[in-house]
Formats: sequence, structure tokens, C-alpha cells
Amino acid sequence: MTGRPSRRQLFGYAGAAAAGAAVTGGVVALGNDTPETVVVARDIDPYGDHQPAIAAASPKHAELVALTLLPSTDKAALGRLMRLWTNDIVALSAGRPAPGDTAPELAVPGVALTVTVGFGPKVFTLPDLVKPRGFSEVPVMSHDRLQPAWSGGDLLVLVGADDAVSVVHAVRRLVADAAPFAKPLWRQTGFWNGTGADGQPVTGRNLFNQVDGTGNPAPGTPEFDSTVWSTDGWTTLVVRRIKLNLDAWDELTRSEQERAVGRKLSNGAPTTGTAEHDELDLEKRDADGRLVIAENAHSRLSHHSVNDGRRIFRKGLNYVQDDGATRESGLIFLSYQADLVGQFLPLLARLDAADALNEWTTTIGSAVFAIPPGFRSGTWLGQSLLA
Amino acid sequence: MTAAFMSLTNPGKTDISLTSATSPVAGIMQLHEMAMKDGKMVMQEKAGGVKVPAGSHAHLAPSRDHVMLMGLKQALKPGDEVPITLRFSDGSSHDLTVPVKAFTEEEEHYQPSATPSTTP
Repeated sequence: MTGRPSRRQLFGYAGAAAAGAAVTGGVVALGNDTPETVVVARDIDPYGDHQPAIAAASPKHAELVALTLLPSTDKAALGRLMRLWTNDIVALSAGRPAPGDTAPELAVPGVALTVTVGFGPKVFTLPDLVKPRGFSEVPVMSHDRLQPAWSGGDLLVLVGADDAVSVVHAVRRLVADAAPFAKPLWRQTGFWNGTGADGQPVTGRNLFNQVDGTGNPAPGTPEFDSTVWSTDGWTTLVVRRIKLNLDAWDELTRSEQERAVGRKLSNGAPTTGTAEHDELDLEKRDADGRLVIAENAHSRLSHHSVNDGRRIFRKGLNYVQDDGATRESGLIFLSYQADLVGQFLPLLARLDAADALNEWTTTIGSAVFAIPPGFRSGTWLGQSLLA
Repeated sequence: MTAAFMSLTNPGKTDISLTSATSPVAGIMQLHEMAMKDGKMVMQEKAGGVKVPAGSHAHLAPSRDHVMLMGLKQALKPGDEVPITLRFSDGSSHDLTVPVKAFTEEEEHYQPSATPSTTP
């Protein structure tokens, strides 16, 4: 089985909870007549070699906050902020209020709350700090229409949970505790449905109705590890805010929509196959001799077999941005890779030059962050960089 | 003003009280409560200390009981870690390390009750 997010970091997920073992803040709701419908509240262990949200399933609700360092924030101050945030993350992940929380009742367990922290390029210009290998800014692409309001940042906090109230509360606490060190630059809120009708994890869909993320290496596999983690346990994250022109997309026929990507809308299968995780047949031609997966189809251009084996691990969050009666819809595109320069940039250049989807998508925000390893009891986020 | 907040758990079968606290960074530490006086919420020293019921908890939190640090010997910066020793009515003591944070509540609420309110 490929493409399924690993659940090994989760305490008390379905199987274990149903057996009555080791549920952390768990609630098991079993329908009387539909025993396969199992809803399990769960907490995600904040400790580990890597920050845990990256390999975990996409959260239902998430908020990203990019912050700008205050001029007085040096290496030592950044270290103090990371110790504060580490404390906060341990408490909030378990559903306990962070120290000094002024709204402690809003911290609740069982919502799979995670926090991911990253460092923007400016952090590595501070004295004594060394930039991780393969980390760089992303150049402006020819199709980009970047807005400063959604771009850049010196620090990133990415909070996810199965409950929007918990996300908002955790973000408020983390941003408040960062106030002596950094101030918010932009915020992006998104949502994702990674659970099927039967309660099992699924890839999820973007607002174009596409199953989005099928080509990912599966967490827990050697492909995932070599794609995402550098040898010292870091990774890099590219955040791109991509506006989707839903009105123009809706004018297409279903087959035109499928042709743009080379995958079926029904289940995400390649247009050359039947099941979601069937391999693409990039040589297959139809009765008229045309390639079934077109030369400019998104799935062909982004496939590792035509990119010298380069892969990324991408996650998405749908977003809507309302201004009165006007709605903008889009995708917060998140790409994790060990080496941003070696893996992500060549892929982006290829898609920018030719991707059929470019006609209906516009990137309006872009930011990059180096993501430090996880922490264990007694250590703190970014300690290897800042201690 | 500098205050310490924490949650205390008493796993024992008898009630105990937090009776005093000390730290190398503070000249004096007092246990305070917030109380209504003349229609105003004021801070005052808590007589008899902070009770932690058997098998239960005491939450020291903003707008509630807290440990006041006075006569600071050094400036405390957010993210610093401060050692504190707590002493309890059963003779036990506990050392802990607490992180320093900037405070969001209005400091005015924590003026000692001995200070007379000024009326124009």
C-alpha cells in the first residue's frame, strides 16, 4: 500500500482504541448499526526525531503564521523563544493550557493538535548561524503574481488540529508568547478533508475537485525518508498560496479537466489506469495516436520518472478568502523536501514553463522555511542550531 | 511586577498547603490571592498559604492565587528559566524550573492592596 499517511505517531488511533489500549484523552464513539464508523479523538506525541505533523495525516483545520524578527532578536533571544514555544507545544499537544494561558479552558485534548516551527532565510544571516545545505529562496516564476501580504517571513508556526477552535487558541498563545521576539507578517488559514466516508484516511481533494497528493512518497517508506529528511534530520518547506480560477475551471468539460492533470476526477486514478495508485502509463496513446496523458499534463510534468528521480512531499490546505460578497478560492501548497535547491526548484521551473494547470492557477504568495528536527523530553526546538 | 503561575497536584490522602517559596533571583516571594475589597478586585497576601486538597489540584493562575516575586536581583527576560523552591505544610519541598514569559494581563490588577487608591 502506498500513499497512505502513516499513523504510527498517533496515540489511540482506531485499532488500538477499539482494543481499549493506551488511549490518550480518547473518546470512542461506536454507532450501534454501523460498527465500521469509528470516531476516535486522539493526541499526537509532540516528541520525536522529527516534528511530528510532517509525516502525519493532514489536519482538518490549520493556520500558518509567518513572523518577522524584531531587530533586538539575536541568536540567544531566538533560543529563549524556542524554549518557550517548546514548553507551549508540549502542553497544547496534550490539551493542557500553555503556562500563563489566559483562556485555559480552550485547551482541550483529543483534537490531534500539532505545531510545526520553521526558520526563514533571515535567521541564517544572524551571527554564528549556519544555513542548512540546499536551503534557499524560491525565485519569482514567470506565472507568479506574488503579493507581499502573502510572502516571506523569518519564522513560521504551522498549527493543525481536527478542531478549528483549538487551532485558533494555540496560534493566539504562541503568537502572544513570541511578542517580545517577533511580530506576525502574514496569516493563512486552510482546511482539508483526509478522511473518507468509512472513517479511513484518504488522499483528500482540492477545490478543483481533484484528488490531490496521490504521487507522494508514503510516510514510513525509504522513499519518504530520502525525499524529506536531510542527513541531520532537517527538512525544508515551501509555502505557495495558489489562487484557483474556479469560474473558468467550471466552464471546462469533465474530460478537459481530467486531461489537464492526466488523472480521473472520480478517484484520482491515472487516465491510463483504474485505481488511484496505479502507475502512470506515460507512453499510452489513444485510437487517434494522441498521448492519453498529454505532454503538458500536470501529472506527467511533475512525475519523478521524468524529473531525474527528483521527488517532493506535498501537502495541501484549501482556502477561501472573502471580501464582502466576493470569494477567492485556492490552495495553500506545502512542499517538504530535504534539498530545496536540488529537488524543488527544478520541478517548479518545469511546471512554470509548461503545466496545463497554469491557465487556471496563479501563485500569489511564496515563502520558504528550514524546518529543524523534533525534540525530546529535556531538549528544545532548534537546539542544535541555537544552543 | 513578576508573578509565578503553576498547577500543583497532591496525590496524597491528606490536604497540604503551599506555605512559602524562594528563588535565587528574588529577594522576597509571597503567596498572594485576589480578593474583592470595597467593590474592587485587589491582591493580598494569602493567610495560611495555598491549600492543595488531598487527591486534587490547586491552580495558580492569572487573576487567581499566585506566587509574587519581589526585589528581583536581575532582570528577567522572556525565555529565561528561573529556579524556584516550594515548601509545603507537611515539611516537604520541591524544586522546579519555570520559564519566563511576557505578561498579557493589565499589571494594575496586581497592585498590592496596601496601596490606597487615589481619588481625584
